Amino acid sequence: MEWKMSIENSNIRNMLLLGFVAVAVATVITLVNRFPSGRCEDKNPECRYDIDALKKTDPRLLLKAGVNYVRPQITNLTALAVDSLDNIYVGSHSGIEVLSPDGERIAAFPVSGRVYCLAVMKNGDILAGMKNHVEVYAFDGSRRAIWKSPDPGTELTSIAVSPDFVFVADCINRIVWRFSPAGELLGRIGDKDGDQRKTGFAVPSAFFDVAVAGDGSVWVVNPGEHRIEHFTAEGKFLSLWGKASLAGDGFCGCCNPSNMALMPDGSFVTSEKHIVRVKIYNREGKFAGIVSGQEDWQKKSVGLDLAVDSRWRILVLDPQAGVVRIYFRK
Amino acid sequence: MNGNAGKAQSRRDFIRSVMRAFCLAVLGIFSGAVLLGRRCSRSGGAAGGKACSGCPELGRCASGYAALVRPVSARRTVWQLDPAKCIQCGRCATNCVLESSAVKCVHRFEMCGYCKLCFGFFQPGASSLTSAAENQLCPTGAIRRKFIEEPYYEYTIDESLCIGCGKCVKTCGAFGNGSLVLQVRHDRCMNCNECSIARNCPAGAYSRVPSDQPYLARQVSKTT
Repeated sequence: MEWKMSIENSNIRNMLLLGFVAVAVATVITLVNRFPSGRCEDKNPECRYDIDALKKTDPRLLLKAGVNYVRPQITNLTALAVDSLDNIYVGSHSGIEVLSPDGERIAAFPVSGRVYCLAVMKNGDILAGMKNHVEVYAFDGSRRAIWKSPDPGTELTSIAVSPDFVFVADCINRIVWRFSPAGELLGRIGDKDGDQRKTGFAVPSAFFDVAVAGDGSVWVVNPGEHRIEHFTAEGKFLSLWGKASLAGDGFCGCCNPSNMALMPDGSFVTSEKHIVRVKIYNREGKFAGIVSGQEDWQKKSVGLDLAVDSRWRILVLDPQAGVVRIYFRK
Repeated sequence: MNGNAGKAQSRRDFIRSVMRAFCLAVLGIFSGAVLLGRRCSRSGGAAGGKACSGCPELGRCASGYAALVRPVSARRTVWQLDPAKCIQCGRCATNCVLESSAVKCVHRFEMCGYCKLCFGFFQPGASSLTSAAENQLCPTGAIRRKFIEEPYYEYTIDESLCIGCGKCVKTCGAFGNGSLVLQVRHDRCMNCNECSIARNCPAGAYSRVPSDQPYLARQVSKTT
């Protein structure tokens, strides 16, 4: 009898012990699940490994804008510019086409090679940035001058003109060359400055843009640093703005923005690759909104050259589709 | 008498056979010399007008001459994955018969921008650009980040830690220059008759390539 009681007590004790262990395990599991781990995925939705989700545009950031499409007759589009009359200039692998503000073809002519960048001077001369030098064309297609290449390894990516100077961005030397309107090399902008600007331009890919403000100062994209830097026309560093972020207010990827243009009031239009989007920042560099997000573009769209005309229309080159998109305020 | 005639006959046959063999040998040597000394006929061919035997593209050349001239070792093939087809699904890490996959991330330094913000290294949305573990994308910490000069950093792969998951390859391609690629490393690959990863690859990126050119590299492009 005593022996039998002992067995029953032992069974009950074992069952209680098992029950206690089960409750303890359940409690620990509940507590562990309740508190977030230190992993980035748990704290920040951006860390989730879904690239398509990262590329989605937040609809709250979209600005109200309409869009028109202009299709030039030349193909393999590479560069875009507008003149003071709002005529549209597009460059390609072999020529330049000029379109009216409404997209009617006005002129077209062949050039000596691929046009890497374009600008139009006040007197109507067309500056075509070839691989390592600038060529000047008249409206009728005649070549007026070939500027001497500043360096044998040059690869030009952008041209901007002011009344006194022509600024040419060079992605290989990571420098902006300053020319006179006659083509004389005057200097360079963007060298490392030990006091104010410790690093030069970081240009991991062949996108390096420059624009001239209304006061003649120069804005240059520093894509590897995800910022836009401000210089005097003589090359003195003034300021910078911009930050790296996948969110709408920053510049995404390894090296962005790829292109930039200035609005008449000094605010900025930028285009990015990787997450393809066209955005507006005010003149202090504060994010204003997204004109066009990834959803409007092909996945691998790249090289969205920008220009802004006097009517505040934003012109965006879409080389993959072979069109110029013209965004306007609604 | 008949015996002597038979002997004479067989001696004549023997001499004839030797002469035939000699002629064939001379013909063979001559043909071989012509084939080996043949100039590349492809316009702009990789041999640059040199003889086929010295062509760096001999392993991949589809011409009949190349097939004849190619060394015996080059006719052996090994498994390799084509980075242009790879979708970084992660199966290379789990389907290899080896405990640690023979597929590793390879860094093509000639394409790399030495970026401060490398999306192959950092988690998208990392709170700071430091090599703290919570900022790193690689699940095994196989990418080393070394400061070169402001603002440039060098990224190298520690293959002993890399499991070939392709996470870094995916983000480098999506947000960077695409300098990180997955490749089968032949110092580890068992070169199985039927590759377990190739069988399960949803993109059909695996194929056999000549063993003297065992790596498939994507064309360098600065416009990405």
